Amino acid sequence: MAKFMYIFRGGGYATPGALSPSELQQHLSRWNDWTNGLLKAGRHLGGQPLAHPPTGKTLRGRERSVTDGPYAESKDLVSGTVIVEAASLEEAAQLARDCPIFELDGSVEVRLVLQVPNG
Amino acid sequence: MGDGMESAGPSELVEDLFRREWTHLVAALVRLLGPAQLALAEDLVHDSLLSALQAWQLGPPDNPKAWLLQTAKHRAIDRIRRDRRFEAARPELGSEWTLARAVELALSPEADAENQLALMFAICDEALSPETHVTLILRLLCGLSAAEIARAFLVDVQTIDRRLHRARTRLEQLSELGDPRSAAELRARQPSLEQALYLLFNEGYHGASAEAPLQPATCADALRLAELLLSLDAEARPRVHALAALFCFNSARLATRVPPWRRRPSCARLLPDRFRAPLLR
Repeated sequence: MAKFMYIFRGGGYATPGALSPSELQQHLSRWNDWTNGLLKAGRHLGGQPLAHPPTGKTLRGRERSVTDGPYAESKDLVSGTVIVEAASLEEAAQLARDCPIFELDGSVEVRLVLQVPNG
Repeated sequence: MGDGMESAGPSELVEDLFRREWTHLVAALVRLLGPAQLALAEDLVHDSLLSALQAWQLGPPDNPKAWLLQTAKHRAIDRIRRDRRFEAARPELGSEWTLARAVELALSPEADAENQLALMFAICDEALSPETHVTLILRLLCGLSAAEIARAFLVDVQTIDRRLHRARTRLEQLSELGDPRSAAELRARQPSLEQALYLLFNEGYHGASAEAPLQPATCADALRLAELLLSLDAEARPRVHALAALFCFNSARLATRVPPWRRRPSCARLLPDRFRAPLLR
């Protein structure tokens, strides 16, 4: 089994005002169902949701120049990551198919995590 | 309605938590920041719900309601600090000594009924049409989106957006939400408010939408708001008692009109097919 990282972009906060409170709650419960499914199957190894609204700083270059905030279109903003265990990239991508983020026009990037010796 | 969650595990949310908290927080923030900041109040609450969506993806916290309240409180305080305009309207918002306390008091459960009543009376302005009253109540006091309201009224979303925009512009001219207990000109709006609640209940009981003529949640909201109105002064308002009784009477029959095999109660049953056991008990 190998580890894969799901990198989530866009989704809920990229569609301001379009959803009612009930619809947001239903969307949340589908997220919970999806992550619980992965947890029960022993595939989910941990996740890191990021704060909304996206607060942060970016350091760049040799001067370590600091700018406020991640500058990206909200649909391109990373909103969180999850590490899953899967036999192959194909399987990892298959497991991501049921992620509710697609209902709100978000995306999931699936990346193979490098196994560090003794890590 | 809304019950049946007893069997759910500890990490399950109350079914309409987001909707209820939306109503509570919007009414509280509009009262606190003033009607001119209606759009800001809605944004702050919506953002708090989005934060929850983001933070609760692995499951909700132990006390979801308190979490939402804290988040909304911090957001409101941050926003007020950055904006000196609020100081003029409410001096206690301009001082660090009193700011947190003022926000906390406004968002407290104890202030909720009065905040919602104040918002209801402000909405039922004679300058706005009865259908606009219902639209605004559905948006601000029931937490429906413009798209959901449009589906209920069987009109396009733009029509609802325009109606909401005109109504918001009108509300934003008010300097504050008056206290319906003391302001006589607000109490004079009581008949409009009663009519709006009646129309709201009707919308839930036989709405325009052919796909989902029954909206038990809307009926429950109409009853909830009528009961709020009763809490204002129970003896003096026989009409509100009658209205609440009418809602109760018709709500009792609601379950028999909703086929049990449908998870979403969307389709009315014809009389011969109705399930009458609950009525005969």
